[in-house]
Amino acid sequence: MKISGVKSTAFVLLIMIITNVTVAQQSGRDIMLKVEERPDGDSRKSVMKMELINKRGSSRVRTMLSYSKDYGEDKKIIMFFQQPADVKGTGFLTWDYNDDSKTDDRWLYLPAMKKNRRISGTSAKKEYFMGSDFTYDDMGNRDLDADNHRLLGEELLNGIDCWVIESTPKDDDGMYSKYISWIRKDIFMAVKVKYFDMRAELLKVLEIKEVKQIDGFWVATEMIMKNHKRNHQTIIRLESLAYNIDVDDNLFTVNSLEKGYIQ
Amino acid sequence: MLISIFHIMKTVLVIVFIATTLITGLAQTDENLRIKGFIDTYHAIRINEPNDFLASRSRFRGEFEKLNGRSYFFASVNATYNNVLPELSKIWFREAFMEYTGRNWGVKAGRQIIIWGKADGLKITDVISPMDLTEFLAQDYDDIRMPVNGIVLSKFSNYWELDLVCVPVFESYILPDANNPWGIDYNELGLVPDEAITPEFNLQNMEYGGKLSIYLSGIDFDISALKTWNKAPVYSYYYNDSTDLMHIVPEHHRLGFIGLGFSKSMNAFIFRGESAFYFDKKFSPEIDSYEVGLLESNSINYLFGIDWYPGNEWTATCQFSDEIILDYTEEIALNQHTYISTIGVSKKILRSTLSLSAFAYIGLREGDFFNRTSADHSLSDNIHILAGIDWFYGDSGVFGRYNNNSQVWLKAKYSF
Repeated sequence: MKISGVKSTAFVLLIMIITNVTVAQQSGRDIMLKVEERPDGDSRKSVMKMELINKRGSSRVRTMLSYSKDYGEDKKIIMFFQQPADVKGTGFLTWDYNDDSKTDDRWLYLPAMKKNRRISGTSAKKEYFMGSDFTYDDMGNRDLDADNHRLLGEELLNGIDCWVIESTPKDDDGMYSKYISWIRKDIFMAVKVKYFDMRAELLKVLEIKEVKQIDGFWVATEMIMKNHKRNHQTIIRLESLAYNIDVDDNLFTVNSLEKGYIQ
Repeated sequence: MLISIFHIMKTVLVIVFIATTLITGLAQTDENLRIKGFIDTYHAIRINEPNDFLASRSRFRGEFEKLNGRSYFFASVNATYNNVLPELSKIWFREAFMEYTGRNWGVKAGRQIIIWGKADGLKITDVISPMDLTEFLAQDYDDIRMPVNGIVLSKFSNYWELDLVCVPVFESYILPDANNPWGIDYNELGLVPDEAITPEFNLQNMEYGGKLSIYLSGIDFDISALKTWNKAPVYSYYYNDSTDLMHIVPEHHRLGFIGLGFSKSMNAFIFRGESAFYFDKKFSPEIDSYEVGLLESNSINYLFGIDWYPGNEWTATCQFSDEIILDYTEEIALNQHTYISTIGVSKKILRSTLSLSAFAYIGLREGDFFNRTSADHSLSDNIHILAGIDWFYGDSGVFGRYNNNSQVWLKAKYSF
């Protein structure tokens, strides 16, 4: 019995050692890959409320309803603006291809013009989204291998175990020289990111304020991005979240985009 | 007269207020009923003397929509007070249609705007909804478009859509009259304008056609065909011996076309093209050749355009279009080729709260142009303040004829 206990303890220790070795051997890229591959279902719906707050404290609100669905490695997204009033009904349809050699397809629908038009699917990734402090890349569209990722170490952030990873863009035509991410070990989610500009000065800080498990998937439901250079901040809140929903393929068509009244 | 108009407008505004209040109340109890719209006020002053107002109007637009399962309705109401053209102070339904969408088909019936084609601001196949040229092109393009009473039956899948269109009631362009600063005073030209000859309202005169749109990775195509009318009139002339005066007669005639269009993305560029082969199109004769009457020919309209999205909220567009009259004769009032180009540039700054833009139509043969340069500042999430200059240049041509109508304008818009 005693021998058995020793064996058992040794076995547990062995497992722990192996596990720790495995973790220790995880590279920054491995962790960031797990962040990217964190399950989020095959289809999803959300209402994103984005509050833009300037240095005087006045705010503007943008609200967007979006649906997305995975098609293998590719994804289709349809999004409609609900606020502000002057752009209400404006819609974007994106067919997002995983293959880098293939340009995304994107269409814009302007309700005032009653017309859809194909727009470029390449140019927006490094731009700020709708006057906010988030670029399209910041919102999760950045290619994993666009950066070199280096594991700096581990830290407790608000009592939660995190990996700290430094990511350095491979090309030098972006707006960041590097960014440092705090990744929660338990759920593989970035809960804080510091972005540094091309002069290596702190530009922005992203903090996740609320994390929830919805339909079995972990999701950041409230986040704040503070731009320290411009003294401006953007708060994003995600509401009406649903995953693995029954979404008709016909939702992701130009016809649906033109209707614009999807709930 | 003015007092009468004042009373009418006061009554109209009271009706609009009561109706809006009632509908707003209804919307609060019915989650599916949604209301949006705007109030805007627009004022334009001629740059040249006598520096008079070329436009001065305020408008309310309410848009009401309700989605109930697969059924949907939309109605928009305009109420306008126009100081420069008091006869245009009125309240009217702009659009009012209902729609049912099945799993892969739909039907839309009622007064609606129907838009075809890939062109911006130029009409190659986009001829179903006519144009309101009360202020020529010197207003927002969405205000220039007119709805039509029609039915659209659609069948669609993930990658294609077929629209069959039927417009039973003919509607022509709205053209400015002689009292309008944008109108042509035919009397000054020694002409007597007659009433327009328009098609009778019967089944044979129905407008009908279809468009097949295909959306693929990297490229869109469309093929269209339409049996329609020339909604912008052509003009014939006759000499009245008894009065010793020349008369001018606006006429609308049948024509049809087969059209093709594409839109192709390539990195930061979108390449667009559109063409139409028009059958049996009527053309106005030169006034000196009035005795030959209207002339008929097939014609080809085509357009190429490039949109460039270089980033940082810049966009640039350029288009070139031509109409070729195939059986051309010297008696036709137009040249065999009508070359028109457009150039547009826009840039958003200050976190997308200030949008600067310029859009120009250029008549390449006459060297005339119309350029609208504007600044649009989002004062708040609801209020936009806009200012701009409309510059007409040239001695002749479609745009040059308005060289005395260059204007500066100011607009404020509250959206809700």
